[in-house]
Amino acid sequence: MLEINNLRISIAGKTLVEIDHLSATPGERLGLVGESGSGKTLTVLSILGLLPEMMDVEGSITFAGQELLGKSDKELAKIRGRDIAMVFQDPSRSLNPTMKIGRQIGESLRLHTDLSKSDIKQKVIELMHGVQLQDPEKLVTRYPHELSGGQQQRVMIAMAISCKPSLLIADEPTTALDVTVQQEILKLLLRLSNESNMGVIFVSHNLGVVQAVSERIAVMHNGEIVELGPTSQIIDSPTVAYTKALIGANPSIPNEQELSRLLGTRFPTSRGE
Amino acid sequence: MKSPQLLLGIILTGFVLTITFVSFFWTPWDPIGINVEDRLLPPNLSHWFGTDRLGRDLFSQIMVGSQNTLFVALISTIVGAVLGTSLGLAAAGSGPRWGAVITRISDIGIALPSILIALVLATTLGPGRLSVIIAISFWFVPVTARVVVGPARQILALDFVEAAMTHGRSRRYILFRQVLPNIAPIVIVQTSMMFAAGILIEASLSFLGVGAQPPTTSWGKILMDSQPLVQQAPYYTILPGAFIVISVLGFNLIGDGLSVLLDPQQSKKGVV
Amino acid sequence: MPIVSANNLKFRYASSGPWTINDVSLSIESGTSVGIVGESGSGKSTIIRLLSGLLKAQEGDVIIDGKNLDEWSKEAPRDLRRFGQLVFQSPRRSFDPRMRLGRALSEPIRALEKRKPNAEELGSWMTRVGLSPELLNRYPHQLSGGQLQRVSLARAMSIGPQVLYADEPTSSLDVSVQAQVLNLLMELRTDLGLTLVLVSHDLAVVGRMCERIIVMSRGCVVEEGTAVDILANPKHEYTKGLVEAAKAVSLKHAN
Repeated sequence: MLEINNLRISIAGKTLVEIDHLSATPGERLGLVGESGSGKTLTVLSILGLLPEMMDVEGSITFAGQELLGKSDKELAKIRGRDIAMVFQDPSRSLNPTMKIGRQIGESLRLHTDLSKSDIKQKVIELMHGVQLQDPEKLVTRYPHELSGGQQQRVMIAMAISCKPSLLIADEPTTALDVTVQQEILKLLLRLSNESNMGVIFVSHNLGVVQAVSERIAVMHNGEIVELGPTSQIIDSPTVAYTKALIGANPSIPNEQELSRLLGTRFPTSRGE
Repeated sequence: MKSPQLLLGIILTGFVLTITFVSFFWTPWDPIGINVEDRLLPPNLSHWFGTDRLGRDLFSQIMVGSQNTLFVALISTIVGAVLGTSLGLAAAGSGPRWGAVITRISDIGIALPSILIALVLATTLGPGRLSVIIAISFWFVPVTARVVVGPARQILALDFVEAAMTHGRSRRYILFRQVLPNIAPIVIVQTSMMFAAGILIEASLSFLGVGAQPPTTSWGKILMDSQPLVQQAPYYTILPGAFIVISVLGFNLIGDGLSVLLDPQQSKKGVV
Repeated sequence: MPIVSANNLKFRYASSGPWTINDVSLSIESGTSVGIVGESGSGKSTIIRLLSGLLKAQEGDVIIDGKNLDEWSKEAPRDLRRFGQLVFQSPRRSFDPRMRLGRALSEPIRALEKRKPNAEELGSWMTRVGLSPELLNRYPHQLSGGQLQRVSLARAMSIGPQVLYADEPTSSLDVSVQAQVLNLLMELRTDLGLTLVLVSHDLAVVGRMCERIIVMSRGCVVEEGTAVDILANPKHEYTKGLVEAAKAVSLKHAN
């Protein structure tokens, strides 16, 4: 469904991202993991043509057979929101602080469909139920700042899935949230993906979260993919040193026996200190 | 050239300041030398700017007038900046109640038009330089305080201020040694703008007859003298007016240029 | 005897409205490492500011080394500051951007010991936390987050506090750097015999570093116990939910 070939993103001659090949099949959940500066965000921004103007992009990104690179903004606007949707970490980037959330959720529907106003209203309530927002009828008239972080994120997801995209790109959607909320958002994404066979590209620096959501994982470092494979393989039998270091740096919750053993011991670091 | 405004501002103010500096040592003619025969001569080779209604050389008058205008502007600005900044810092550093009191007081101060206050003060204290300085300062202090309070509060909310408190630094130390240096760009720009305003207000007050009294002269006073003769001797009005414009513009441009140069991040956020 | 304890503390930032800290009592034993965990709004960051004396509670007492906080504030405010030091979440924001690091590092000594530390003293602290003394001449923006946090630790340790309160010290750092800073924290603690109070939302970190864990939610202490108690056998519903969620979003691997 999505194929990235020979992608090169550079700025003023300096290469930031260089990917030979990365693909995702319909309905697949692909995790893109790496630290800040690894190029993972730039990569997904380039899919939707959202890179800053000063950056140069070469190569090919095809979606459902269509070549995306080189399309005009107008043409991409038809795809954004309808076929490929994106959810960001910072709700303040996606949510308009001066617009009621009911209206915002309905934006995509207004842009991409011919539904009547009342139909859209109804759909918005349905969508809010779908992302487990309590009391949608009351929330519809609220403004983003009146909602909690978790609620804001759900609103963003509702906006993103409103036109039933075949691919959802989520860039660090859970990073700033409490763990209990993170868990709920992840469950939500899994459910949505399974229900409508929606593909997900999940970008994060948190390997644990990526593991929970993805079927396949691509590990990025310095703009390149250093390892790619099924989740269990990457986590349990990594081959590349960087991947191993990344695994070591993501602490897991020890079980009872490990707890007593590990208490007060040093954390493993990538330099093996 | 990072800031063409700054360059232009420096050129303009440099021009004016040079003239002022020179005026302490030399003027082409005696500024108060009355010579009725030569009255109202248009600009010529011996009197570069012409003469006024009493035959006094206009250029020399303008040179000497600048001393007064700039002096008044300088003192008022210094008083305004020092007291206003201190007041603003105090307001930012005190609890919500005192902070609100000080802010309200400054609001009132700003709302009252400076000219009006000056006129009232002049009537009470008598006209002259001192009244003008007091009047202008009276307005500058709350204006500066207001400009300083917001950014000061922002800085106070930052973590390193909390860190300083854990290290045992007193509130006063934090306000003057940590907050002030971090808002210095704002204070500097504000000072420059106030200087420009000071020149304008002094000129206005002298124009109304409230400021400089003879034999002291100022640009505003020259303008006042020139009023009845505008049609006869336009140069008499235009030239002092031009100097006012040049110096106000010059200092404003310096303020503008500095605001971009000193802290480009902040000017984008609209703090200045 | 506990080195710091709190009795029935109630605190709120505004003069009315909900309490940020709602009747909290806890005690910290000397030389131990205690983790305070909770989600946003739990009050975990506020409680350490109350315990260290940075904030004053409207109701209840804080007892530090046997003396009430009020007595400390009146009689020996400087000693109070020397007793407990803080390290903050965002290293970049805890340094005055206009101060060179050498100066910043010497601030506690200048303020609390009323003397100016010489270059050797500052240099040895930098080496102690694994940084080159050359960096003392730099400004905060010239160092990475991890490096700054190390300077932060040096700064806090320089006046020899008995208690170190660390408020999410690694949350804003890159994952690969977090381990290094936490290891440094552990080292300093054992070397200097420090009592450590670590505030974190990360159960994995707290489980490894802290002998006791206090769980907070909405301004109250929900449960407390050893790391094994809390992470392996949580009793309170909230704690159970928290641990389960933390496990769900953290890495699980065969080895």
